[in-house]
Amino acid sequence: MAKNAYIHIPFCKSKCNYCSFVSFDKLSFKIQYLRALISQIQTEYKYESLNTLYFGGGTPSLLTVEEFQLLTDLFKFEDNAEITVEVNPDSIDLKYLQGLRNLGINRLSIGVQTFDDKILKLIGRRHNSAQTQFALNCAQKSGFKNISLDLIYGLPNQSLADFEKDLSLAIDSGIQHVSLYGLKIEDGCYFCENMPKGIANSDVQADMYLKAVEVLKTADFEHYEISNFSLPDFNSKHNLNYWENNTYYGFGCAASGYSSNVRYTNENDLRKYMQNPLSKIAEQKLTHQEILEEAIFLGLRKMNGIDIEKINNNFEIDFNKKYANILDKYSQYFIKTSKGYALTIEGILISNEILANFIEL
Amino acid sequence: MKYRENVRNFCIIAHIDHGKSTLADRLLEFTGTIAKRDMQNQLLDTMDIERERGITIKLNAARMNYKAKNGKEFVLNLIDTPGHVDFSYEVSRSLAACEGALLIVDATQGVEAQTLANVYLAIEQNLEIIPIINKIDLPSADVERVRKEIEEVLGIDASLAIPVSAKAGIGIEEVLEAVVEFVPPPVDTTDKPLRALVFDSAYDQYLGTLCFFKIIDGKIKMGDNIKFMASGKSYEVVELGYSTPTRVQVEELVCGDVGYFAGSIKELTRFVGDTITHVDRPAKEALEGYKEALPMVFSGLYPVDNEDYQDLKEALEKLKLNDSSITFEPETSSALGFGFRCGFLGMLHMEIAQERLEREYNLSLVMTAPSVVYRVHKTNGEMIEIDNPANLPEPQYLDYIEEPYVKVQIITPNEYVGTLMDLSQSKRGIFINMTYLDKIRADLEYHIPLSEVITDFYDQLKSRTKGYASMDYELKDYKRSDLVKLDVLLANEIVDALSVICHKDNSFYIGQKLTTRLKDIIPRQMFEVPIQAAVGGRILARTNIKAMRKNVLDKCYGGDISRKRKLLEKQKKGKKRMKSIGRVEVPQEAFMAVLSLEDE
Repeated sequence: MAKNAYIHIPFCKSKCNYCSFVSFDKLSFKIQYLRALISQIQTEYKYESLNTLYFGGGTPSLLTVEEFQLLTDLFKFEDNAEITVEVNPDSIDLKYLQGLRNLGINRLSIGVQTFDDKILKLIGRRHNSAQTQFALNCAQKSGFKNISLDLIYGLPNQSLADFEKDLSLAIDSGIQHVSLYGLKIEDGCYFCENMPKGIANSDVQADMYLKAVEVLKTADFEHYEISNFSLPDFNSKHNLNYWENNTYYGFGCAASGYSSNVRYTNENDLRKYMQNPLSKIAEQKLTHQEILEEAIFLGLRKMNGIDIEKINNNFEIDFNKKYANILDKYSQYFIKTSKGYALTIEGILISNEILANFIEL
Repeated sequence: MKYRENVRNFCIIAHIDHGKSTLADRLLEFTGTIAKRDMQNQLLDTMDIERERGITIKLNAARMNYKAKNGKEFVLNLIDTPGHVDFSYEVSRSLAACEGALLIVDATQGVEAQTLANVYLAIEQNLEIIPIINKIDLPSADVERVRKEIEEVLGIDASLAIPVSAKAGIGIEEVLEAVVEFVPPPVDTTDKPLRALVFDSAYDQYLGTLCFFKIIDGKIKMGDNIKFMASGKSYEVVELGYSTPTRVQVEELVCGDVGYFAGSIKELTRFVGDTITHVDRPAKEALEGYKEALPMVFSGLYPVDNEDYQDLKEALEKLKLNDSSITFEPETSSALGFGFRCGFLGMLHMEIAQERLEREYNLSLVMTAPSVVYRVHKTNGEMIEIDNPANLPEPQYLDYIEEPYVKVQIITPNEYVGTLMDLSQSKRGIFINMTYLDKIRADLEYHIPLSEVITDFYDQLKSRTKGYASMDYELKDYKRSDLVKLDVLLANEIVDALSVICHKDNSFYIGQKLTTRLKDIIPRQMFEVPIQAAVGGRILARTNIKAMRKNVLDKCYGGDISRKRKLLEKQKKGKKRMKSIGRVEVPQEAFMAVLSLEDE
């Protein structure tokens, strides 16, 4: 039983220099891919009414409105369902967005990354800030009332002041939600082999993050999860579902899902996926202990933290007793909330250090 | 005197990398001891570490059957030996079980420092030495030069030296024929009371302690009641056999044979060097055992998790069975908790021992930087020996300190003499002698403090000479030196396990380097950690590890939670490899930092 679904559209016109996600530039496979995707959905989807559906990528906006309709038609939705599409500023216009709106898609996540044209070029994005502005205008004009925007900090040659400029441009653009990621150069990306100059070290990244928290708060954005901020009532329901450790479908090449205590990831080789859309590259049945650990390390990503009573009941433990050592050792990073514990902003910044302690090897 | 005419016991000695194990492989292959399909490289190196590093650490025995050209059948017992200086104790034990030795010299390298050292050991044991010139297939091989060198440097008749390529399989039969012709057969004293010399032992989880021996007199049968003459313990022989190197069981072994037995021996006692005889017909006199190998370097060995102390103790007891030169005594450190002070023959030996303990006994260990044994003369006239810097008495009770010097012999191509002299001088070495072996190579002799030799001397020697120089060393004597204890403070607390004893003139330099190294090695913690180096309370150097500010996984990865879990698991594993000292988590490498100060 899952009421949330993620759909991966693994195509991109070109790969950004920092990206290590699964994506392919062979757009000619699009039709064949959609066929496989639809067959996976038809086989695995149990026809629950979805609370959220999320199209991520890759570049989902490479699909036409008609192609989106093939997919959205497969699902049943709750009345207030949140349906999100990730879009790139260079691949949309007013007509296109109106088309999406008419399909019932009601949330956009725009891959802005930065408003600085020089940096956009450096990181291999296909768009410039004028296109971003145009995309934002179109989005609002076409009736989207829930728009999120992705920003990356710690980009090559990006100073703290540059980043602050990005933040204020984002706030002024009238959007409702911001997702914020520190640049992380991971295996498999272009930057990994060709390390760019002028990259912020982790101390500067920490400063940038703290600055974002401060600036966004002043503009009435609620910091509700490590990397997510929104105006009141505009939290991403889809992402919150992950942090609350609930089930969800993962459809498409390389997508991950969670159901009946099994975490799975679909085949990540495009050809193999198209041959057999049901095959998985990983399937892990979680133990009781692992489910508990995930409830904790995912829950503590949220700024309002974890509900101790709920955890104690679900897992038949005494949280305070079981984790007394951790709570004590890191006491300065925990805040007691009305329901349990949350991490302070300093704790969030070094959360890997703290959360690793909850893992039993 | 009667001889066992069809038996030959021999070993292979050589400088490291001259091709002992490869020749052993070829001999096993040629005699059909190992079927071609079961053949793998370094067959007698049964430990993973040996194969991975391409070196022999342990002696290992193999019996081969060989039909000589004269039509007679022979049983050949081959004992493979280590080449590294640290393991010369293993070599001397295997020599005692043989009547002859194959001396391998690399046709491209010539005589090296450990060729010399091993030849002296073999001569001491009265072994027949058969010189073999290996690697003749290489383009730079110079058989005649090496032949001359063997005669001039080693004083061994090399006119009959056998040119061989173990790798290419050239000259293998000639080697076997030479063994049959020149190695003397063992004396046949089958009628005498049993005397067998235990030259090695190992622990087997099903059979208990296994003893490897060579029978000098008499014979031994399955079911015999035997006793160890030194320890006085008796056992029944429940399994008897020889190794090929797989163990093959037999009913009886007689004098001159090399074999092993198991007797349900549960005790982890030392039997190496002991003599086996029969309970009901004992020999009058035990055989001469082995000289105790004296450990030269000492270091503290601690479990990362204090609860593993008992496991470490058992592991050390079992390891000692197989590597009798290790010594250990309990010690405590205020920083590391309960552990053991262990003695090793050298740095490689120490490294191997730690690796074996971690692998074979699944332990996670912290090892402190090695120390030598200092003779400390106190103001009250008392002299104490200390092998742990932390135990150095307070300055007011100290009169003077003596430290061990070793005689270092270096064989090097002429062009590197200058740089090696610089190196030896910088390590407080005293020049003793230099002779030219021939037109291109020199033999240098220095007396150098052991503590300087065990740090990075060998690595420096190799890197300064592109690997062409070789060295050997032996303990010389003790000399008075102006030494001080350098303490390291982490987060304002002295960490006893990081203290080092160094020469006073070097203390400032070492303090600076050490604190900088530690700053690189110790990961950032959640708070700032000052690192200081001090002598007698005076701070010589200080640096800070800044507090970690950001370690967070912010990306969502499209709901791929397994990825987040893996990251946290990796983080946790990393933590498990670290030792908590106060609030600071310190990785193992930190304790060895003092050994690699020159890296930058």
